[in-house]
Amino acid sequence: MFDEAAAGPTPAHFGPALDKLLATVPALTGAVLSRSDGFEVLSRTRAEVPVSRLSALSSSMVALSQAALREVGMHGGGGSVLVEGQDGKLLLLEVPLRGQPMVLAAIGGADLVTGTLLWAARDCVRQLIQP
Amino acid sequence: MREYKLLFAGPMGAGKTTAISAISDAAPVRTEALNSDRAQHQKETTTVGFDYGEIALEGGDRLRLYGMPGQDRFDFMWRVASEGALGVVLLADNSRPDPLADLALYLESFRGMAERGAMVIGIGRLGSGHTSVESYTAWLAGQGLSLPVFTVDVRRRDDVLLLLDALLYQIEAARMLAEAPHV
Repeated sequence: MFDEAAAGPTPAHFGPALDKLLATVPALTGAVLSRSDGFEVLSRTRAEVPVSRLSALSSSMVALSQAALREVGMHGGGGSVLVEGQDGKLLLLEVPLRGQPMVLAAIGGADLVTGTLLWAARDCVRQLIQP
Repeated sequence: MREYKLLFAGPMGAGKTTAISAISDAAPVRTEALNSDRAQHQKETTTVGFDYGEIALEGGDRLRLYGMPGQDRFDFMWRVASEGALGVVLLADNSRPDPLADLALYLESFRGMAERGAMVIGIGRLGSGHTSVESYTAWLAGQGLSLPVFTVDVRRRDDVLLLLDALLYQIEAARMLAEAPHV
């Protein structure tokens, strides 16, 4: 659900930013942009992805990672969470948009190089913040 | 040293974060995000991970308190946190249009704990709604449950501690019943 009445329309440059991310990294299965309280904003997928569930999970995981950092005296936004499994990777990046922080989730297969994923996803975040 | 894991659950805005803040020995761990679902609740922020607080008991035992996100899209967190939990405080917001319908979702999700008596209900903002304490009790009875129901102001430490006392009593009573020899 995306409540445009509450959050405003999705900015026009969000779609091209996600399109570019998937074009740059063919091994990506999909990318999901969500508000920090777990609502889906926009997604681009090449395979079946449970977008609304992933949105909620992404916001929880990023919030928990921020809480963990605070507990060890590390503050500041712009963080990331990388989850790796036998079948692939899930990268979550904070998108510190003024007024409405968001989370970008990028899903890729096991063959996807982590450095490539990080570089491309961080570049996508830069585009989302500064169109 | 024994540790007891207890949960606080209930609808968005029922006061779970406030309740844990009121009783935790140290400032709780919080996972708040800007609330963009103002149609659901007008509050500025909402829990998206979990709150975490602790209370040290006499003898070195400790209560570990987990506040659950209220919105049902975070129900995966309810399941994760339920692992190893002894009981749950279910908070109701009586100012909501249908507080009993709100509770049904949580009652179902934490049904296992409810059925073994490891649940207490705390009704907040009683005077701001039209549902009586008796209605809550009758509604629970209709679900085949007999659980303690209290009216609370979760900003007050004593009110929240009363809920925990009742919950621990319930858990202990259920344990003793289970261990009692059958006659």
